[in-house]
Amino acid sequence: MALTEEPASQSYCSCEAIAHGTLGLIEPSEMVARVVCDPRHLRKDGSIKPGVFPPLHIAKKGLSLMRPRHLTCDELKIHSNAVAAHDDRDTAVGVIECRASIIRALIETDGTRSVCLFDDPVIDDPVVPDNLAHALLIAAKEVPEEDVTEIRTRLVLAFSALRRFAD
Amino acid sequence: MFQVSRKLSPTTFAAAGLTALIYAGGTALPAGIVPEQREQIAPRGTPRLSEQFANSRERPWTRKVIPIAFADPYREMLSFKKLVDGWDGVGSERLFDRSVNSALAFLAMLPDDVPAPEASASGDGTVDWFWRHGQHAATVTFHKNGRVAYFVLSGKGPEKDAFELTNEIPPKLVESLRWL
Repeated sequence: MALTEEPASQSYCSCEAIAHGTLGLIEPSEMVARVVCDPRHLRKDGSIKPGVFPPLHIAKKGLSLMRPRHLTCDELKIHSNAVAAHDDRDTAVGVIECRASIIRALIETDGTRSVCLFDDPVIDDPVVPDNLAHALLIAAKEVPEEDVTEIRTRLVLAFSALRRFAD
Repeated sequence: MFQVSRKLSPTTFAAAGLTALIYAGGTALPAGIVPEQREQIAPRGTPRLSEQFANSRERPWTRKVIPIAFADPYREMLSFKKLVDGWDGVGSERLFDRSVNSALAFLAMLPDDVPAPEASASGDGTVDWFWRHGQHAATVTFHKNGRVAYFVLSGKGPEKDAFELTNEIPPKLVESLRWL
């Protein structure tokens, strides 16, 4: 597996090539954001630890992301806090971001994609409010545990440091 | 009972390390923590041994303890046991005891010339040890089924594998961590 800006990162996987919502495909230049719910995910210098990317979510469930381009700052904060907890006292710490093309540049040694990244609008969910700017990242195929650990480590290196929400 | 032995389970191993911390003075640390695998003569004023220790063939100050540099990550990992369902947002789970115990056992086996890791927890119940120096990084993940998966991106190149934690850390993992 490697992280490279090769042509593969500029193309869509078949699952990414059809938009699931009205906001359209996630373009290579688009930023995606991961909500950081708990400060334990942060290192002392503000960078993140791999725990913010749970193995089970990468491998099977799908890692929940948002599309900041389609949200105002207030909307991003509202949706992040909704993900953080039901309790109004629990709020998200902030978000970390990464360009879609960098995530899609994660490839296997045979040149195939390691992960897929596609839009996944949330509508009528019993827990969180509707969010058309929701996205998912998931392993492109069933992979062994060590490959999931590699994906998580490479995502840690690829995502930005925390962008805190203003009070 | 707390002597580190090749036959001990990861859980007992972790308990041994924790006991070493407590024995060394609890949270204040680190004066009593001794380098790994070094035998020490019990200092004056050492509390009397419990009946349990007295019946043991090994004295507690001869058991394997964690290096001073690993005390903070050890405590942070141990603190994860207090987390409850929902700690990391909607749908997140408390951490698996087996994952945390395996991680603590792993740390107790880690040679002291390897950089100290950072503790990391996930909302799916797994935990990791994590190292990062610039664009070099390593993650060792502890799953609830006892499997340990790792990936190291160091000056030596990438290295990854998975294993069952028993009585030894795979030498190629230790060697890779030294290159971070």
